[in-house]
Amino acid sequence: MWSFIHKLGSPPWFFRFGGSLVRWLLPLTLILLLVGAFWGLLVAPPDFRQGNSYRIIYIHVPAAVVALAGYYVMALAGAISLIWRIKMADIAMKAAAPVGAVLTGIALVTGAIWGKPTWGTWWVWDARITSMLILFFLYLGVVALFEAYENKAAAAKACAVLSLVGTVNIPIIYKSVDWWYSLHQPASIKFTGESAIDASMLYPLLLMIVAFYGLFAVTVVMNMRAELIWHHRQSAWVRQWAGLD
Amino acid sequence: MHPRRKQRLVWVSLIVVLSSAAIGLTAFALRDNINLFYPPADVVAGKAPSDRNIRLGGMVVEGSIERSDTNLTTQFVVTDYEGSVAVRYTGILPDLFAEGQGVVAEGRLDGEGVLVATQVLAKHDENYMPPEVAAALEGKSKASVAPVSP
Amino acid sequence: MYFDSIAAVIDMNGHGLYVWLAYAITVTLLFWLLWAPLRQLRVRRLWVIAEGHRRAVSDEPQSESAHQRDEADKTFSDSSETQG
Repeated sequence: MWSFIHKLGSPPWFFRFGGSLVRWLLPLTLILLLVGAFWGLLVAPPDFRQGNSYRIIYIHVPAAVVALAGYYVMALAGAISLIWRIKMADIAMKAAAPVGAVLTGIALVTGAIWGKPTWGTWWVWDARITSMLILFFLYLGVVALFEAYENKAAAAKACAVLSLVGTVNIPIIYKSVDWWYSLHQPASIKFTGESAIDASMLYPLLLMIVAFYGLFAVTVVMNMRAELIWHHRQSAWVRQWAGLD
Repeated sequence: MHPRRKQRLVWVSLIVVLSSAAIGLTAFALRDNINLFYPPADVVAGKAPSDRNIRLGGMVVEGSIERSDTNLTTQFVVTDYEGSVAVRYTGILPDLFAEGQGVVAEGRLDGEGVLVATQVLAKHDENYMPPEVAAALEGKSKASVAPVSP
Repeated sequence: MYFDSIAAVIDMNGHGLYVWLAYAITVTLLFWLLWAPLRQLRVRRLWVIAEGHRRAVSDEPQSESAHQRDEADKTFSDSSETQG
């Protein structure tokens, strides 16, 4: 166990390990996405009240769920980077930020598109939607901050502090629909007790959530590999990988 | 753990705890503004301002919808089972607007305590089910509707 | 299968525009998310190869070659933009 964690910190080892991970996880994720989208779009029944517009749930909810979980991944990498000064943690943080930003963007845009036919408006400044917008800006802030610094160590430190400060937003997003009066409805999937969504609609949703987790893992590892190559472009193992020597 | 790392761990924990406290207190202080709407009970109790636009949220009372024959004006009553407020709105209502459904109306209170709305939004709940299941639940299930497995 | 014709799938009882727009935007963004690191890796591999050839050709002092490398980096990234 410890030796595995130790190996994760080694750039050439992680690069090879990540490569083989992507090779099987990427096709698996794409298959899950296709099956889940097909199931949700064409097989699942319509909702008794919303009709077919609810089918946006199959991308909106997974994108939002993984955007929140991904923030914890980024903040954890930030904490590791601050405490143990492990370079791989900096790289993981830098790799996760754009993925999280895109997923949050998807959740916001699909939510707006869903809001128009169901609520009657694209946008409303309620607690859930506003806190989600803040999450989007936090992700973008980390992306921008990494670019703003010449010094990589200073950039990683600033980004780690920003992502740690931002973690407070995550429970706020989760609980916003319970703590305040909002237009957004409370969660349908419940970890304790029966879900408020029929099984025939729930299964494709769970499948899509798993697929989006896979997608997050694959894209973060792919970003990390591209970043590692650039960090170590002068080292022997990269030259070997490129086919030199 | 190495003492320097331990010290950094303390700093990291402090960042998280202090920023959480700061933002938590801010949210608590601003809680009235974070709420998107007033429940009817608060409006009845006079807690909502009458000199500016407010949002009212609640359930449309069954049988309370009155549609005008000549224009798009609709009047209905919104309740939270503790208080009720009448709403008058001229315009196109969202598809999901119906009796017994959640609604958020934005507008200004007139002298008689009626909310003259400029916008009405439908607030749907967290329940998703196929039409057959909904019909079965309402006790309208006919022989043609297949029994639904739980 | 819930729908019984292609037209019904596209229309979705009037909600087709919303549903398909949401899915189209998502597919585009996810595709970009997967494609960007693959392209980056390809471009960087070419840079490493080009750098290797430059080193093999020139036997200049360290500072000089470092300067050249920066220049090459710039021109390379410029050309890679037009490639992409």
